[in-house]
Amino acid sequence: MMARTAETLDRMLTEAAGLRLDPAERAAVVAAVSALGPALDRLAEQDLAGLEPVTAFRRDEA
Amino acid sequence: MPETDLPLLSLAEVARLLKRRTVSPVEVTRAVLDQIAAFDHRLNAFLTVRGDEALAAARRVERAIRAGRYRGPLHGVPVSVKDLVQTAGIRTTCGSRILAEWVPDADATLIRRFREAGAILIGKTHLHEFAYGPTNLNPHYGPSRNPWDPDRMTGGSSGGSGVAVATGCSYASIGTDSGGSVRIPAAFCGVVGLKPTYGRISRAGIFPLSWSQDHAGPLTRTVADAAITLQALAGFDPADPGSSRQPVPNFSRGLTAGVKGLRLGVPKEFFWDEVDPEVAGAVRKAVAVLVGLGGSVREVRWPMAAEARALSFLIMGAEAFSVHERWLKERPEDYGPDVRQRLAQGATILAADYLRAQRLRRRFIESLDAVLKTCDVLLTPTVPVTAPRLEETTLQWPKETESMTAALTRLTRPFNLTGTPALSVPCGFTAGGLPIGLQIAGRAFDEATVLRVGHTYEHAARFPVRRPQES
Repeated sequence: MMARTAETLDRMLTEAAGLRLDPAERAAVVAAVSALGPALDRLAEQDLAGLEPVTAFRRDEA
Repeated sequence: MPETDLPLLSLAEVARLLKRRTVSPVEVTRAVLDQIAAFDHRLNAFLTVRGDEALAAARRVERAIRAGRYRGPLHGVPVSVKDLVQTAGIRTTCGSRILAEWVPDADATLIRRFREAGAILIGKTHLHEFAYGPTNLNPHYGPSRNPWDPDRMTGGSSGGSGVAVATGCSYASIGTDSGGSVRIPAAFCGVVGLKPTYGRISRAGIFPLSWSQDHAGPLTRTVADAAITLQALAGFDPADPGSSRQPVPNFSRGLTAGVKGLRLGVPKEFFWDEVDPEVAGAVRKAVAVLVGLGGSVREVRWPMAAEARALSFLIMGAEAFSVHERWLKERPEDYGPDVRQRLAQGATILAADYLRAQRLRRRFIESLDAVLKTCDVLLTPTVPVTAPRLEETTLQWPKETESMTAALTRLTRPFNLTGTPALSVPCGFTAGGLPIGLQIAGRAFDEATVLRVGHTYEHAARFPVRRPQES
Protein backbone atom coordinates (compact mmCIF):
# COMPACT_ATOMS: atom_id res chain seq x y z
CA MET A 1 0.00 0.00 0.00
CA MET A 2 1.25 3.44 -0.79
CA ALA A 3 1.21 5.79 2.13
CA ARG A 4 -2.09 7.68 2.15
CA THR A 5 -2.70 11.29 3.04
CA ALA A 6 -4.09 12.13 6.47
CA GLU A 7 -7.28 13.31 4.82
CA THR A 8 -7.76 10.00 3.03
CA LEU A 9 -7.07 8.02 6.17
CA ASP A 10 -9.54 10.14 8.10
CA ARG A 11 -12.23 9.52 5.48
CA MET A 12 -11.52 5.78 5.54
CA LEU A 13 -12.11 5.71 9.27
CA THR A 14 -15.30 7.72 9.27
CA GLU A 15 -17.02 7.44 5.91
CA ALA A 16 -15.86 4.03 4.72
CA ALA A 17 -15.61 2.12 7.99
CA GLY A 18 -18.21 4.14 9.87
CA LEU A 19 -16.27 4.16 13.13
CA ARG A 20 -17.34 6.50 15.92
CA LEU A 21 -14.08 7.90 17.25
CA ASP A 22 -13.67 11.28 18.84
CA PRO A 23 -11.52 13.73 16.87
CA ALA A 24 -8.48 13.32 19.13
CA GLU A 25 -8.54 9.55 18.78
CA ARG A 26 -9.06 9.77 15.05
CA ALA A 27 -6.06 12.05 14.82
CA ALA A 28 -4.00 9.58 16.88
CA VAL A 29 -4.98 6.71 14.56
CA VAL A 30 -4.15 8.76 11.47
CA ALA A 31 -0.80 9.75 12.99
CA ALA A 32 0.06 6.14 13.85
CA VAL A 33 -0.70 4.91 10.32
CA SER A 34 1.05 7.89 8.73
CA ALA A 35 4.18 7.13 10.74
CA LEU A 36 4.44 3.86 8.84
CA GLY A 37 4.33 5.70 5.51
CA PRO A 38 7.97 5.21 4.42
CA ALA A 39 7.89 1.50 5.31
CA LEU A 40 4.62 1.03 3.44
CA ASP A 41 6.03 2.86 0.45
CA ARG A 42 9.00 0.48 0.46
CA LEU A 43 6.62 -2.48 0.34
CA ALA A 44 4.66 -0.87 -2.47
CA GLU A 45 7.83 -0.66 -4.57
CA GLN A 46 8.55 -4.40 -4.41
CA ASP A 47 7.99 -6.56 -7.48
CA LEU A 48 5.22 -9.07 -6.81
CA ALA A 49 5.64 -11.11 -9.98
CA GLY A 50 5.25 -14.81 -9.36
CA LEU A 51 4.13 -14.39 -5.77
CA GLU A 52 0.80 -15.88 -4.71
CA PRO A 53 -0.61 -14.73 -1.40
CA VAL A 54 -0.09 -16.79 1.70
CA THR A 55 -3.77 -17.41 2.41
CA ALA A 56 -4.75 -20.59 4.22
CA PHE A 57 -1.41 -20.43 5.98
CA ARG A 58 0.23 -23.72 6.84
CA ARG A 59 3.89 -23.82 7.54
CA ASP A 60 4.16 -27.27 5.96
CA GLU A 61 2.70 -25.88 2.74
CA ALA A 62 4.15 -22.37 2.77
CA MET B 1 12.47 -30.42 51.42
CA PRO B 2 11.09 -27.18 52.89
CA GLU B 3 7.51 -26.67 51.74
CA THR B 4 8.45 -23.22 50.45
CA ASP B 5 10.77 -24.80 47.86
CA LEU B 6 8.10 -26.99 46.33
CA PRO B 7 6.37 -24.47 44.07
CA LEU B 8 9.71 -23.25 42.71
CA LEU B 9 10.95 -26.64 41.57
CA SER B 10 11.02 -27.21 37.86
CA LEU B 11 8.11 -29.06 36.30
CA ALA B 12 10.43 -32.01 35.58
CA GLU B 13 11.57 -32.12 39.22
CA VAL B 14 8.08 -31.99 40.70
CA ALA B 15 6.94 -34.60 38.17
CA ARG B 16 9.64 -36.97 39.43
CA LEU B 17 8.50 -36.43 43.03
CA LEU B 18 4.86 -36.99 42.07
CA LYS B 19 5.68 -40.16 40.17
CA ARG B 20 7.63 -41.56 43.14
CA ARG B 21 4.85 -40.37 45.46
CA THR B 22 7.39 -38.40 47.50
CA VAL B 23 4.86 -35.57 47.34
CA SER B 24 1.16 -35.72 46.59
CA PRO B 25 -0.75 -33.68 44.01
CA VAL B 26 -2.71 -32.14 46.88
CA GLU B 27 0.48 -30.96 48.62
CA VAL B 28 1.79 -29.54 45.37
CA THR B 29 -1.48 -27.79 44.56
CA ARG B 30 -1.70 -26.32 48.07
CA ALA B 31 1.86 -25.05 47.79
CA VAL B 32 1.09 -23.34 44.50
CA LEU B 33 -2.13 -21.83 45.88
CA ASP B 34 -0.13 -20.49 48.86
CA GLN B 35 2.28 -18.94 46.39
CA ILE B 36 -0.61 -17.29 44.54
CA ALA B 37 -1.92 -15.94 47.85
CA ALA B 38 1.51 -14.50 48.59
CA PHE B 39 2.15 -12.86 45.22
CA ASP B 40 -1.00 -12.25 43.26
CA HIS B 41 -2.47 -9.35 45.24
CA ARG B 42 0.68 -7.42 44.42
CA LEU B 43 1.49 -8.58 40.89
CA ASN B 44 -1.96 -9.25 39.36
CA ALA B 45 -1.01 -12.36 37.42
CA PHE B 46 -4.41 -14.05 37.46
CA LEU B 47 -7.87 -13.02 36.32
CA THR B 48 -9.40 -16.21 37.75
CA VAL B 49 -7.99 -18.58 40.37
CA ARG B 50 -9.63 -21.99 40.72
CA GLY B 51 -8.52 -22.99 44.22
CA ASP B 52 -11.33 -25.33 45.29
CA GLU B 53 -11.67 -26.93 41.87
CA ALA B 54 -7.90 -27.40 41.61
CA LEU B 55 -7.79 -29.09 45.02
CA ALA B 56 -10.70 -31.35 44.05
CA ALA B 57 -8.87 -32.27 40.84
CA ALA B 58 -5.69 -32.88 42.84
CA ARG B 59 -7.54 -35.34 45.10
CA ARG B 60 -8.82 -37.23 42.05
CA VAL B 61 -5.34 -37.32 40.56
CA GLU B 62 -3.90 -38.51 43.87
CA ARG B 63 -6.28 -41.46 43.89
CA ALA B 64 -5.39 -42.29 40.28
CA ILE B 65 -1.63 -42.19 40.91
CA ARG B 66 -2.00 -44.29 44.06
CA ALA B 67 -3.98 -46.79 42.03
CA GLY B 68 -1.06 -47.07 39.60
CA ARG B 69 -2.61 -45.03 36.81
CA TYR B 70 0.24 -42.54 36.40
CA ARG B 71 -0.07 -40.81 33.03
CA GLY B 72 3.21 -38.95 32.62
CA PRO B 73 5.11 -35.82 33.61
CA LEU B 74 2.13 -33.47 33.71
CA HIS B 75 0.03 -35.75 35.90
CA GLY B 76 -0.81 -33.85 39.07
CA VAL B 77 1.07 -30.71 38.02
CA PRO B 78 -0.67 -27.31 38.51
CA VAL B 79 -0.67 -25.23 35.33
CA SER B 80 -2.33 -22.04 34.18
CA VAL B 81 -3.50 -20.70 30.83
CA LYS B 82 -3.87 -17.22 29.43
CA ASP B 83 -7.46 -16.02 29.71
CA LEU B 84 -7.75 -15.98 25.93
CA VAL B 85 -8.13 -19.77 25.95
CA GLN B 86 -11.67 -21.07 26.26
CA THR B 87 -12.45 -23.14 29.33
CA ALA B 88 -15.79 -24.91 29.68
CA GLY B 89 -17.74 -23.52 32.62
CA ILE B 90 -14.99 -21.05 33.55
CA ARG B 91 -15.24 -17.42 32.50
CA THR B 92 -12.93 -16.44 29.68
CA THR B 93 -12.61 -12.67 29.62
CA CYS B 94 -9.94 -12.24 26.94
CA GLY B 95 -8.82 -9.39 29.19
CA SER B 96 -11.78 -7.38 27.96
CA ARG B 97 -14.90 -5.69 29.26
CA ILE B 98 -16.81 -7.01 26.24
CA LEU B 99 -16.34 -10.65 27.26
CA ALA B 100 -16.11 -10.03 31.01
CA GLU B 101 -18.94 -12.47 31.74
CA TRP B 102 -18.36 -14.99 28.95
CA VAL B 103 -18.51 -18.57 30.16
CA PRO B 104 -17.77 -20.90 27.23
CA ASP B 105 -19.48 -24.27 27.09
CA ALA B 106 -16.52 -26.07 25.55
CA ASP B 107 -12.82 -26.37 26.26
CA ALA B 108 -10.15 -25.32 23.79
CA THR B 109 -8.29 -28.30 22.36
CA LEU B 110 -5.18 -27.50 24.39
CA ILE B 111 -7.20 -27.54 27.61
CA ARG B 112 -8.51 -30.96 26.66
CA ARG B 113 -4.97 -32.15 26.04
CA PHE B 114 -3.82 -30.77 29.38
CA ARG B 115 -6.67 -32.63 31.08
CA GLU B 116 -5.82 -35.85 29.23
CA ALA B 117 -2.24 -35.50 30.48
CA GLY B 118 -3.58 -35.13 34.04
CA ALA B 119 -2.49 -31.50 34.54
CA ILE B 120 -4.41 -29.45 37.12
CA LEU B 121 -5.74 -26.10 35.90
CA ILE B 122 -5.05 -23.66 38.72
CA GLY B 123 -6.23 -20.49 37.02
CA LYS B 124 -6.53 -18.15 34.05
CA THR B 125 -3.80 -15.58 33.62
CA HIS B 126 -3.87 -11.88 32.88
CA LEU B 127 -3.28 -10.46 29.41
CA HIS B 128 -3.34 -7.35 27.29
CA GLU B 129 -6.94 -6.71 26.18
CA PHE B 130 -7.77 -9.25 23.45
CA ALA B 131 -4.01 -9.96 23.28
CA TYR B 132 -3.60 -6.85 21.15
CA GLY B 133 -0.58 -5.21 22.75
CA PRO B 134 2.81 -6.07 24.26
CA THR B 135 2.69 -4.15 27.56
CA ASN B 136 -0.08 -5.88 29.54
CA LEU B 137 -1.30 -2.48 30.66
CA ASN B 138 -4.99 -3.29 30.85
CA PRO B 139 -7.53 -0.57 31.67
CA HIS B 140 -10.21 -3.08 32.69
CA TYR B 141 -8.24 -5.26 35.10
CA GLY B 142 -5.21 -3.10 35.93
CA PRO B 143 -1.66 -3.82 34.85
CA SER B 144 0.12 -7.03 35.64
CA ARG B 145 3.33 -6.13 37.44
CA ASN B 146 6.85 -7.34 36.91
CA PRO B 147 7.99 -9.78 39.61
CA TRP B 148 11.47 -8.22 39.67
CA ASP B 149 10.18 -4.67 40.07
CA PRO B 150 6.43 -4.12 40.43
CA ASP B 151 6.70 -0.62 38.99
CA ARG B 152 7.73 -2.14 35.67
CA MET B 153 5.92 -3.95 32.88
CA THR B 154 5.62 -7.70 32.60
CA GLY B 155 5.48 -7.45 28.85
CA GLY B 156 2.58 -8.97 27.03
CA SER B 157 0.29 -9.95 25.84
CA SER B 158 0.75 -13.08 28.00
CA GLY B 159 2.06 -11.04 30.95
CA GLY B 160 0.17 -12.92 33.65
CA SER B 161 1.67 -16.19 32.45
CA GLY B 162 5.19 -14.76 32.76
CA VAL B 163 4.53 -13.64 36.33
CA ALA B 164 2.81 -16.90 37.29
CA VAL B 165 5.77 -18.99 36.21
CA ALA B 166 8.46 -16.65 37.59
CA THR B 167 6.87 -16.62 41.04
CA GLY B 168 6.06 -20.32 41.37
CA CYS B 169 2.34 -19.78 40.88
CA SER B 170 2.34 -22.37 38.05
CA TYR B 171 4.88 -24.92 36.82
CA ALA B 172 3.88 -24.05 33.25
CA SER B 173 1.55 -21.52 31.72
CA ILE B 174 0.23 -21.34 28.19
CA GLY B 175 0.37 -18.03 26.39
CA THR B 176 -0.35 -16.99 22.85
CA ASP B 177 2.03 -15.23 20.50
CA SER B 178 1.03 -13.25 17.40
CA GLY B 179 3.92 -10.77 17.47
CA GLY B 180 5.97 -11.87 20.45
CA SER B 181 3.39 -12.29 23.21
CA VAL B 182 4.95 -15.42 24.72
CA ARG B 183 8.60 -14.42 24.26
CA ILE B 184 8.35 -10.79 25.44
CA PRO B 185 6.90 -11.57 28.89
CA ALA B 186 9.28 -14.52 29.16
CA ALA B 187 12.22 -12.15 28.62
CA PHE B 188 10.91 -9.47 31.00
CA CYS B 189 9.95 -11.91 33.76
CA GLY B 190 13.08 -14.08 33.55
CA VAL B 191 11.50 -17.33 32.35
CA VAL B 192 11.58 -19.52 29.26
CA GLY B 193 9.00 -18.91 26.51
CA LEU B 194 8.53 -20.95 23.35
CA LYS B 195 6.59 -19.99 20.26
CA PRO B 196 6.51 -23.25 18.35
CA THR B 197 5.99 -23.62 14.61
CA TYR B 198 2.66 -22.34 13.30
CA GLY B 199 0.23 -25.26 13.42
CA ARG B 200 2.19 -27.29 15.97
CA ILE B 201 -0.22 -26.55 18.87
CA SER B 202 -3.92 -26.30 18.07
CA ARG B 203 -5.49 -22.86 18.34
CA ALA B 204 -9.03 -24.25 18.31
CA GLY B 205 -10.90 -22.52 21.10
CA ILE B 206 -8.45 -19.64 21.43
CA PHE B 207 -9.96 -16.23 20.72
CA PRO B 208 -8.27 -15.02 17.52
CA LEU B 209 -6.16 -11.91 17.07
CA SER B 210 -4.48 -12.51 13.72
CA TRP B 211 -5.42 -15.91 12.33
CA SER B 212 -2.36 -16.28 10.15
CA GLN B 213 0.07 -15.27 12.91
CA ASP B 214 -1.51 -16.70 16.07
CA HIS B 215 0.46 -19.35 17.92
CA ALA B 216 0.04 -20.92 21.37
CA GLY B 217 3.11 -21.81 23.40
CA PRO B 218 4.42 -22.60 26.87
CA LEU B 219 6.12 -20.38 29.44
CA THR B 220 8.14 -22.41 31.94
CA ARG B 221 11.10 -22.08 34.30
CA THR B 222 13.39 -24.36 32.27
CA VAL B 223 13.83 -25.38 28.66
CA ALA B 224 13.27 -29.04 29.58
CA ASP B 225 9.90 -28.03 31.04
CA ALA B 226 9.00 -26.27 27.79
CA ALA B 227 9.80 -29.51 25.93
CA ILE B 228 7.59 -31.54 28.29
CA THR B 229 4.70 -29.11 27.94
CA LEU B 230 5.02 -28.88 24.17
CA GLN B 231 4.98 -32.68 23.99
CA ALA B 232 1.63 -32.83 25.73
CA LEU B 233 0.00 -30.18 23.55
CA ALA B 234 1.48 -30.72 20.08
CA GLY B 235 -0.22 -32.60 17.29
CA PHE B 236 -2.79 -32.39 14.53
CA ASP B 237 -6.24 -31.10 15.37
CA PRO B 238 -8.95 -31.13 12.70
CA ALA B 239 -10.73 -28.33 14.59
CA ASP B 240 -7.91 -25.88 13.74
CA PRO B 241 -7.66 -25.10 10.01
CA GLY B 242 -4.00 -24.14 10.47
CA SER B 243 -3.07 -27.31 12.33
CA SER B 244 -0.21 -29.33 10.90
CA ARG B 245 -0.02 -33.05 10.19
CA GLN B 246 3.75 -33.07 10.63
CA PRO B 247 4.87 -35.90 12.91
CA VAL B 248 5.54 -34.87 16.50
CA PRO B 249 9.03 -35.93 17.61
CA ASN B 250 10.14 -36.58 21.17
CA PHE B 251 11.16 -33.05 22.18
CA SER B 252 13.02 -34.12 25.33
CA ARG B 253 15.19 -36.82 23.79
CA GLY B 254 17.82 -34.63 22.10
CA LEU B 255 18.00 -31.90 24.73
CA THR B 256 21.36 -32.96 26.12
CA ALA B 257 23.08 -33.49 22.75
CA GLY B 258 25.00 -30.22 23.07
CA VAL B 259 25.84 -27.75 20.32
CA LYS B 260 29.07 -29.22 18.99
CA GLY B 261 28.94 -28.95 15.22
CA LEU B 262 25.86 -26.72 15.17
CA ARG B 263 26.07 -23.56 13.07
CA LEU B 264 24.91 -20.59 15.12
CA GLY B 265 23.79 -17.71 12.94
CA VAL B 266 24.14 -14.20 14.31
CA PRO B 267 22.41 -11.61 12.12
CA LYS B 268 24.68 -8.80 11.05
CA GLU B 269 22.05 -6.09 11.08
CA PHE B 270 18.52 -5.20 12.21
CA PHE B 271 18.55 -7.37 15.36
CA TRP B 272 21.34 -5.23 16.88
CA ASP B 273 20.17 -1.81 15.74
CA GLU B 274 18.79 0.28 18.60
CA VAL B 275 19.34 -2.32 21.33
CA ASP B 276 20.18 -1.39 24.91
CA PRO B 277 23.94 -2.00 25.37
CA GLU B 278 23.40 -4.11 28.49
CA VAL B 279 20.99 -6.35 26.58
CA ALA B 280 23.28 -6.61 23.56
CA GLY B 281 26.25 -7.36 25.82
CA ALA B 282 24.46 -10.17 27.66
CA VAL B 283 23.29 -11.76 24.41
CA ARG B 284 26.78 -11.52 22.87
CA LYS B 285 28.14 -13.23 25.99
CA ALA B 286 25.54 -15.98 25.60
CA VAL B 287 26.70 -16.51 22.01
CA ALA B 288 30.27 -16.78 23.29
CA VAL B 289 29.20 -19.41 25.84
CA LEU B 290 27.67 -21.50 23.05
CA VAL B 291 30.78 -21.09 20.91
CA GLY B 292 32.85 -22.25 23.87
CA LEU B 293 30.75 -25.42 23.90
CA GLY B 294 31.60 -26.26 20.31
CA GLY B 295 29.06 -24.34 18.28
CA SER B 296 30.44 -22.48 15.29
CA VAL B 297 29.25 -18.94 14.91
CA ARG B 298 28.62 -17.35 11.54
CA GLU B 299 27.47 -13.90 10.66
CA VAL B 300 24.37 -13.97 8.50
CA ARG B 301 22.35 -11.34 6.66
CA TRP B 302 18.57 -11.13 6.69
CA PRO B 303 17.82 -7.63 5.44
CA MET B 304 14.17 -8.37 4.77
CA ALA B 305 13.60 -8.69 8.53
CA ALA B 306 13.38 -4.90 8.52
CA GLU B 307 10.09 -5.12 6.60
CA ALA B 308 8.41 -7.17 9.34
CA ARG B 309 6.71 -4.27 11.06
CA ALA B 310 5.01 -2.93 7.94
CA LEU B 311 4.02 -6.40 6.74
CA SER B 312 2.65 -7.29 10.12
CA PHE B 313 0.77 -3.99 10.36
CA LEU B 314 -1.08 -4.83 7.15
CA ILE B 315 -1.73 -8.48 7.98
CA MET B 316 -2.49 -8.24 11.68
CA GLY B 317 -4.30 -4.95 11.23
CA ALA B 318 -6.68 -6.34 8.63
CA GLU B 319 -7.23 -9.65 10.40
CA ALA B 320 -7.81 -8.10 13.83
CA PHE B 321 -10.18 -5.50 12.36
CA SER B 322 -12.12 -8.31 10.72
CA VAL B 323 -12.45 -10.10 14.08
CA HIS B 324 -13.58 -6.97 15.93
CA GLU B 325 -15.35 -4.89 13.28
CA ARG B 326 -18.86 -5.33 14.59
CA TRP B 327 -18.05 -4.60 18.24
CA LEU B 328 -15.83 -1.71 17.22
CA LYS B 329 -18.74 -0.08 15.41
CA GLU B 330 -21.45 -0.93 17.92
CA ARG B 331 -19.68 -0.53 21.27
CA PRO B 332 -16.34 1.23 20.79
CA GLU B 333 -16.53 2.63 24.32
CA ASP B 334 -16.11 -0.88 25.72
CA TYR B 335 -12.54 -1.13 24.46
CA GLY B 336 -9.58 0.45 26.19
CA PRO B 337 -8.21 3.44 24.26
CA ASP B 338 -5.00 1.77 23.06
CA VAL B 339 -6.70 -1.32 21.68
CA ARG B 340 -9.56 0.72 20.19
CA GLN B 341 -7.06 2.87 18.33
CA ARG B 342 -4.97 -0.08 17.23
CA LEU B 343 -8.06 -1.85 15.90
CA ALA B 344 -9.20 1.29 14.11
CA GLN B 345 -5.90 1.41 12.23
CA GLY B 346 -7.07 -1.78 10.53
CA ALA B 347 -9.94 0.13 8.93
CA THR B 348 -7.42 1.92 6.72
CA ILE B 349 -6.19 -1.31 5.12
CA LEU B 350 -7.82 -2.28 1.83
CA ALA B 351 -8.18 -5.83 0.55
CA ALA B 352 -5.51 -5.12 -2.05
CA ASP B 353 -3.12 -3.95 0.69
CA TYR B 354 -3.72 -7.12 2.66
CA LEU B 355 -3.13 -9.34 -0.36
CA ARG B 356 0.00 -7.44 -1.33
CA ALA B 357 1.33 -8.08 2.17
CA GLN B 358 0.44 -11.76 2.01
CA ARG B 359 2.20 -12.04 -1.36
CA LEU B 360 5.30 -10.35 -0.01
CA ARG B 361 5.09 -12.57 3.04
CA ARG B 362 5.88 -15.52 0.79
CA ARG B 363 9.13 -13.81 -0.18
CA PHE B 364 9.75 -12.97 3.48
CA ILE B 365 9.37 -16.66 4.42
CA GLU B 366 11.68 -17.72 1.61
CA SER B 367 14.25 -15.17 2.69
CA LEU B 368 14.47 -16.68 6.19
CA ASP B 369 14.49 -20.21 4.78
CA ALA B 370 17.53 -19.18 2.70
CA VAL B 371 19.31 -17.83 5.79
CA LEU B 372 18.55 -21.03 7.70
CA LYS B 373 20.18 -23.07 4.95
CA THR B 374 23.49 -21.53 6.03
CA CYS B 375 23.01 -22.02 9.76
CA ASP B 376 20.99 -24.17 12.15
CA VAL B 377 19.60 -21.44 14.40
CA LEU B 378 19.62 -17.65 14.68
CA LEU B 379 20.65 -16.03 17.96
CA THR B 380 19.35 -12.55 18.76
CA PRO B 381 18.11 -10.52 21.70
CA THR B 382 14.43 -11.26 22.41
CA VAL B 383 13.56 -7.64 23.16
CA PRO B 384 15.77 -4.56 22.64
CA VAL B 385 15.35 -3.46 26.27
CA THR B 386 14.55 -4.84 29.70
CA ALA B 387 11.19 -4.24 31.35
CA PRO B 388 10.23 -0.55 31.02
CA ARG B 389 8.48 1.36 33.76
CA LEU B 390 4.69 1.15 33.64
CA GLU B 391 4.22 4.76 32.62
CA GLU B 392 6.69 4.76 29.72
CA THR B 393 5.05 5.02 26.30
CA THR B 394 8.07 5.56 24.08
CA LEU B 395 11.75 4.65 23.98
CA GLN B 396 14.33 7.26 23.15
CA TRP B 397 17.23 6.06 20.99
CA PRO B 398 20.13 8.25 19.88
CA LYS B 399 18.59 8.84 16.45
CA GLU B 400 14.86 8.39 16.99
CA THR B 401 11.93 7.98 19.32
CA GLU B 402 10.17 4.63 19.03
CA SER B 403 6.69 3.75 20.28
CA MET B 404 6.71 1.17 23.05
CA THR B 405 4.60 -1.26 21.05
CA ALA B 406 6.90 -1.08 18.04
CA ALA B 407 10.02 -1.44 20.17
CA LEU B 408 8.88 -4.39 22.25
CA THR B 409 7.78 -6.45 19.25
CA ARG B 410 10.56 -5.40 16.87
CA LEU B 411 12.76 -8.49 17.25
CA THR B 412 10.08 -11.13 17.81
CA ARG B 413 7.57 -10.21 15.09
CA PRO B 414 9.60 -11.51 12.11
CA PHE B 415 9.12 -15.09 13.32
CA ASN B 416 5.35 -14.75 13.49
CA LEU B 417 5.31 -13.86 9.82
CA THR B 418 7.46 -16.88 9.00
CA GLY B 419 5.63 -19.20 11.40
CA THR B 420 8.96 -20.67 12.49
CA PRO B 421 9.86 -21.64 16.07
CA ALA B 422 11.52 -19.16 18.41
CA LEU B 423 12.48 -19.54 22.05
CA SER B 424 13.36 -16.95 24.68
CA VAL B 425 15.79 -18.12 27.37
CA PRO B 426 17.02 -15.98 30.29
CA CYS B 427 20.62 -14.94 29.66
CA GLY B 428 21.44 -12.74 32.62
CA PHE B 429 20.40 -9.69 34.58
CA THR B 430 21.15 -6.02 34.23
CA ALA B 431 23.07 -4.22 36.93
CA GLY B 432 19.65 -3.05 38.12
CA GLY B 433 18.46 -6.64 38.55
CA LEU B 434 16.17 -7.00 35.52
CA PRO B 435 16.19 -10.18 33.42
CA ILE B 436 17.43 -10.29 29.82
CA GLY B 437 16.26 -12.72 27.14
CA LEU B 438 18.19 -14.56 24.43
CA GLN B 439 16.07 -15.46 21.38
CA ILE B 440 16.87 -18.71 19.56
CA ALA B 441 15.03 -19.10 16.26
CA GLY B 442 15.06 -22.17 14.04
CA ARG B 443 13.60 -23.89 10.99
CA ALA B 444 9.95 -24.81 10.63
CA PHE B 445 9.09 -27.87 12.74
CA ASP B 446 12.60 -28.00 14.17
CA GLU B 447 11.70 -27.04 17.71
CA ALA B 448 14.01 -29.86 18.80
CA THR B 449 17.15 -27.99 17.72
CA VAL B 450 15.93 -24.70 19.19
CA LEU B 451 15.22 -26.42 22.51
CA ARG B 452 18.56 -28.25 22.38
CA VAL B 453 20.48 -24.98 21.99
CA GLY B 454 18.43 -23.35 24.74
CA HIS B 455 18.93 -26.25 27.13
CA THR B 456 22.67 -26.37 26.45
CA TYR B 457 23.02 -22.66 27.11
CA GLU B 458 20.86 -22.78 30.23
CA HIS B 459 23.00 -25.53 31.76
CA ALA B 460 26.30 -23.96 30.81
CA ALA B 461 25.42 -20.44 31.96
CA ARG B 462 24.50 -21.54 35.49
CA PHE B 463 23.30 -18.25 36.82
CA PRO B 464 23.13 -18.00 40.56
CA VAL B 465 19.55 -18.99 41.35
CA ARG B 466 17.46 -15.88 41.82
CA ARG B 467 13.74 -15.81 42.34
CA PRO B 468 11.42 -12.87 42.88
CA GLN B 469 10.78 -12.17 46.55
CA GLU B 470 7.54 -11.46 48.34
CA SER B 471 7.47 -7.98 49.78
